[in-house]
Amino acid sequence: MRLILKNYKKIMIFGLIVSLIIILLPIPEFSLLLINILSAPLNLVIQLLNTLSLYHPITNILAWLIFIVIVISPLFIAFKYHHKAYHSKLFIFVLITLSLTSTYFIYGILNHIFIKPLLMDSWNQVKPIIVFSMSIILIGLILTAVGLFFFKRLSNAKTGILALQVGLIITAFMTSIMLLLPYQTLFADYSGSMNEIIELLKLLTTSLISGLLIVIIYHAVALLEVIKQKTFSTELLPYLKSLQSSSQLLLLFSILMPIFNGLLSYIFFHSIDNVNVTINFPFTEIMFVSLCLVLSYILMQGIDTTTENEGFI
Amino acid sequence: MAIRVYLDEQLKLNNMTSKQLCEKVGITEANMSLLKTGQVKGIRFATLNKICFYLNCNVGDILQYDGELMEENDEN
Repeated sequence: MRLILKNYKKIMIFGLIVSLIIILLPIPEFSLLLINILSAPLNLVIQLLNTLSLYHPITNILAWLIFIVIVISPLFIAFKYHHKAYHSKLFIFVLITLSLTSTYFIYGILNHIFIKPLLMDSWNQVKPIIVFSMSIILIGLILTAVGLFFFKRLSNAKTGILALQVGLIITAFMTSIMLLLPYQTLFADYSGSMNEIIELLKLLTTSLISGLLIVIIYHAVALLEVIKQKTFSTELLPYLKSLQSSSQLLLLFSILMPIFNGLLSYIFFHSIDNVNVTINFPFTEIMFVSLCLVLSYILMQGIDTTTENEGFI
Repeated sequence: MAIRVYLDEQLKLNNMTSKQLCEKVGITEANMSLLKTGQVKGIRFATLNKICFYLNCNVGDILQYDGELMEENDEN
């Protein structure tokens, strides 16, 4: 955890580099590539299951049993050791890892990669059942693990801030990965038509907003690091000012840019009857930034009060 | 300065050093020095109460108004 916090700048940069690499690779199915990279450690087990499954009907049953044990293991561990969840970081880590492992296995089975259906001739008969049941189990497990992780930490101020920082870093990481990916889709068949130019402008707007959001998250994480030492310290002031200016800028962009895009679309496409021009405001970003501004205002007031109080003897 | 501080006079009357008063009241010598020169923003009732108790005097013996209005900038 502390390792992640110490290296959050590097993680953000890594996220950007990964997205750049994915864009530069001449493979259109980047999502498959990502899954392949992430699921690489499991390939060995998948190969074993595949061999067992195809070798003989009995080994096919064995392959299915192994598969069920692996997929059910997070659920079993969660029930068996749930009382330790409040005390053991390792338990949560294992639970999350196993849940993710199960996700890869489900992905494998849904794509007919490594195991053939058991006792059923038609794959279509078994697929919806597996998809439904396993999705519920996995999503439930992952959400429970994440919930436990944050609930435990939020009860204590310092670890709560730490959990918040980790949450923000994960958000920044995901945002930085998703920042450049849409460009690949656009440039795959780019011909320079007016429609594509408008799309590109819309993408640039979204990227600008996402980029600013990452900057705000960066400031927020740094701010929380100082808050951990002392809540209303004058050391917070430079971070608060940076956070406020970035937030104000993002708020401005979030309101103006969609209007600008909508107007642009209207100017170029209003002559076509069946084109519907809409303005979509990024409400999530607007709400997040508004919250940041309100909190920074409260912190400023707190610092003023504390500074004044410190002048008293 | 509109409020004048007469701590040194009271200390002399009580044959007490500034350090001794600091120890009894529970404030630092640096803060006591700031108080004597009137450079503090304010004084808590609890501190004032202790000072009066240990110097055996009234609030008016320590703090006196000189008839002028303090400018906002003078506070610092």
